Amino acid sequence: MPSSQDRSSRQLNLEELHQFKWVLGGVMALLSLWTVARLDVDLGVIPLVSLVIVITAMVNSALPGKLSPLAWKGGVFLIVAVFLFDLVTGEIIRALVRLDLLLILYRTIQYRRKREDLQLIVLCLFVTVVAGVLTVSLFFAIQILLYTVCAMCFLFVINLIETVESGGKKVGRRWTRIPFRRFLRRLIEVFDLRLAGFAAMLFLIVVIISTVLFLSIPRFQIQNPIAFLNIRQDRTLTGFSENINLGEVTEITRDDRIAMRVDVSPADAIPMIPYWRMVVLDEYTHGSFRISNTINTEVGMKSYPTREIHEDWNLRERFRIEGTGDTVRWVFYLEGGISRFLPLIGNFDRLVFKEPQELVVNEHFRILSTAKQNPLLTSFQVEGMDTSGRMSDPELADYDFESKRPPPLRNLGPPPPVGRRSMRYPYTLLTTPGGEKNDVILTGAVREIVRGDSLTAVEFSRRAVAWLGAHHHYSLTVRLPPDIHDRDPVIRWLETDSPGHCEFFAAGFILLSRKAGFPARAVTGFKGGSWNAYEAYYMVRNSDAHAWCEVLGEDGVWFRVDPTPGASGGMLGGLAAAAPVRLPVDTSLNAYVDSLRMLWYRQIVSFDENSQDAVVKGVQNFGRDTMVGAWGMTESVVRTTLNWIRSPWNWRRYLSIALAVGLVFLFVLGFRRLDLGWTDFRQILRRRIEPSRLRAGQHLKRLNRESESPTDGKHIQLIGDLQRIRYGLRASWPNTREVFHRARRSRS
Amino acid sequence: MTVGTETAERTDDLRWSGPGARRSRVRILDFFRFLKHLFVPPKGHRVVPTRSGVVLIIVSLGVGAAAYNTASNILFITLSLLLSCLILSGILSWFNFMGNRWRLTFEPPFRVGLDATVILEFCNQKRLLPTYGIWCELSSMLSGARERLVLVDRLDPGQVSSLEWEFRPQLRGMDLLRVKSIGSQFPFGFLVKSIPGEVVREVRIWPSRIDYVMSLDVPAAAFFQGETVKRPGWGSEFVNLRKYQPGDPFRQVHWKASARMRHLMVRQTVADNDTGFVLQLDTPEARWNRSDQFELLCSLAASLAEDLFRENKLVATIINGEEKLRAHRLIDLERFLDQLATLEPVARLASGTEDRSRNVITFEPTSPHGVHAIVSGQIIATA
Repeated sequence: MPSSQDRSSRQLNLEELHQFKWVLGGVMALLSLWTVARLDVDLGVIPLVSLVIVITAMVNSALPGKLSPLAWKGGVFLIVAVFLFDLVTGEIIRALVRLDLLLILYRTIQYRRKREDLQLIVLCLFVTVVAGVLTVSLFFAIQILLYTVCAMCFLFVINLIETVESGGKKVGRRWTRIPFRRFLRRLIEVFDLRLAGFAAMLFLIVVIISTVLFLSIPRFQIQNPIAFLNIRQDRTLTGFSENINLGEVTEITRDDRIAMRVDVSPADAIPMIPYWRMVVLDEYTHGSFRISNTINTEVGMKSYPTREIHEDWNLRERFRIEGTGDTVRWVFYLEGGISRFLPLIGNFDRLVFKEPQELVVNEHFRILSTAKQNPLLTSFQVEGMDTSGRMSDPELADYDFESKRPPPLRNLGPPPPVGRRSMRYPYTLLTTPGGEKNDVILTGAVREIVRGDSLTAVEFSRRAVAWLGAHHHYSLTVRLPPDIHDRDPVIRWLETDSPGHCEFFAAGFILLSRKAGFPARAVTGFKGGSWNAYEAYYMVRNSDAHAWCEVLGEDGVWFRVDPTPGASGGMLGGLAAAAPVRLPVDTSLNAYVDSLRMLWYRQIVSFDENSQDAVVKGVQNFGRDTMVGAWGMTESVVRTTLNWIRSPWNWRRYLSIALAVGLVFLFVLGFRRLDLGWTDFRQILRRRIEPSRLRAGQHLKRLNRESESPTDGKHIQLIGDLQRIRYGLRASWPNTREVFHRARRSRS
Repeated sequence: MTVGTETAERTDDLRWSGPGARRSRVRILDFFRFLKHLFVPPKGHRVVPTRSGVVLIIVSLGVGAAAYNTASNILFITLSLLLSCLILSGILSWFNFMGNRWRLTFEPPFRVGLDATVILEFCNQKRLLPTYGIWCELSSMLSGARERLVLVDRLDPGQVSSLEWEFRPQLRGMDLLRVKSIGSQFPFGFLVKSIPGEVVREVRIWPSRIDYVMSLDVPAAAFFQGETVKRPGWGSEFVNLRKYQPGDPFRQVHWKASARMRHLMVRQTVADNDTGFVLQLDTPEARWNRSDQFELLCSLAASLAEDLFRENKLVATIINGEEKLRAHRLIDLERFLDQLATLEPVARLASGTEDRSRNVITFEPTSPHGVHAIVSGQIIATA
């Protein structure tokens, strides 16, 4: 029997428990700081300062005791002051997170009682959850699991301390004098692998239970939810806004982060080089494109505060999977902070959001946007999306290509006077920079392209693209010579042989098309992407940002033109011959990490009632299949047995049955003589020990456990007999059956 | 109360109680019983949330409301983890109680006014898991004393821990010592689980020892010699042969008899010229109608009996006319004191043997609160 001294050396004493609690509090604070590291909220120097202070306090627990009470009071005032300041000057989320961090820091370095320990746990939970909700990051899964482990250990230690102190022991502040190294050594000393294994198993049980709860908690939509964690983010990637200056789209391409992930099945539904339309801009003014005011303010804007929008914009054909008749479903996961505008390839049948959204629909340009910039991940599904790159425009179907005058649109009022036409849609589709010098250069370029021929829009586009490619090559950097006349930059670029990026090529093409009398508009968005082979989805990065054009054809259909050199696959969308699908496949480490994130989005973040139904159906199907399989197997066994029984019997069969029965009988009889059970048989095989000795040893162990010093004479005799069986010569054994029978009866 | 009865009663009282005492031979039945108790708690089992448990519930409700409001799966994950922690807390709490057993042991006698020690033996019968943070509530019915004993250290599998409770009985009589409940906040302090202690033990509380005044003068001293009686002792007159009992001097061993009987036998002799008294206690209600005076009577009788016994002067005791009981051995004295522990005034005295010898000590109440001990009409002691 271990002595009390041995026992206490294998357990942490009260001082060590306090030290352990102190360290755990520090670990939880560090975990909270990690969760806010990925938060896109300006927290200033608070996280860094907190990190330094927490680590210092963890290692030297006596330090906080040296602070004067005045310092602690001052800390409270400082926290309140910072919070009020943040509230007045910043947004509520930033103020709350900073307040939480300061409170965590305050509590972590304080010598806490139970109430303050619980406060620390709640504070750390709050900041972890808020960071998780705001970032929707894969790391949240790891962080919340680590938090759970820490919190459970923390609560366990608090409970142990409370129990020991309720027994009358108190320790005061003595525990702060324990050196950190000595404490770590003690932790290693008391570490019990068996208990650690049990704790790990318990944690696994927690994870399993929480998974089951997560899958089974009923999901339903609340009709009028309270606005919560509504972060307004005014900043967006400027290349994807209503007003784009030259160079802003190219600026986005310097960032290699993932902007969007697209789930689509089958994979060959994606065109070889997809063009993800986000913003369409009609008005051009001295180096910048924008959506004209006519579109923005007068007509054509519709706002839909709903989850679902059905749009059948004269879809020319619906792309279907061969033979099944299903509509291809696209699921988009657009990272927060990219743009209000939704990236779509073309017209679609149906679009569904996960949460209710306020949508703004631009029917003229066939673009959608949310009313507010969403800093969080936006997820939506699209069905029946047209990937041809062509878009009909019935409103402009009567465009007079001969006279180069667009027809008045019915809902845009009478056409304005000539001088003011350039500012109104659809006249903005033909507007070029004013001024004689600009006009001369443009006209000269168009003449060079057309060469006196009467060209269709497609023919002109081909020639213009070739002309641009012949005169300029591609470069991310554009250096134009200074101009004292302040001419249009695109015109100046056209005049020279300077290299240019996609915006210059697009802008140059648009001006040339307009000068030639073909309505043209700019489009920005993403082009291309790569296929993630791990989770089978499409990845689009910020570096895939691109600008291209759309030109109105004679049939009243807008077709895509990408004049940037190297864009052979998308030069003339829908008019080029269909190419076999050869998606670039990404199998890099980054792709693998991103696939985990996608798995997280698919299985966890996007889990909703439909997913629940799918899980339930899956479980039902699994159960049904298992039952059917088991039943089939049982039927098969029974049938085989019956056939065997019904088949003719011969002497061999009788003999084999008799032998089998005899063997079983001998086996059972042998075991009964030895008074053994099935578990003993297993142990015999493992340990190779005589079964009777084994059984006697088990009884002795039990009797020793039950009573330290038996006083009853019968008990003494029983122990003596068991010892003789366990350790003595076989010749000296008493009747083992009788002894084991008495041993069983002596169980208390 | 005979020795045989005591022995049997003591054996029953030393039975273990608790989940670990009810283990069946077939382990799988224990497991099914455990599962059943998870969903249908046995009678007397209570689970009450603590302050931190209530906070956890409130936080879970808040997170749940936020989850439904925002339809955010991040919050649903958090809610699931919080609820699973609560569930695990309940399961672990029950695991902590499993396999434990306990029993009360104590060494009588208990006397009014003297500290009594009761030991609670707590045993962890589990094979793998330790037991943490258990407390036991003990109570004494008669004195109203209560105590919560806390198992401060971890109790490893197979270990036994003894918790001592010292209390001072205040009243004479038959007391019931109970283990009212066994409780724990293990593991996280969210829930307090308590189960019935299932242990009740009877114990007799003897009257307190008091100081009394011996009032002896020379003429009365002659009567205070008592009468000569023969009683067993270690004198010279040989009386009997009996079996050896631990404590007997070896020089009294009769070796020849021992060889014949194949047991150690000792010579029993008579103590020389011993004098003694008979204590006669009559407690009619009419005479002893004041409870404080009655308690004083019991205390005086007990103190006198002990002192006389110590001086080998106690011969026998008679209570309320019942059978005269010899008081030669310690166990006889203890029996008398046991009787005193539960003695109450009677309506009518039994018409049993009334000893009118010169050595009979009787008791009379005095005003205002006192009690006299009287021999042959002479007061020999007053309290």
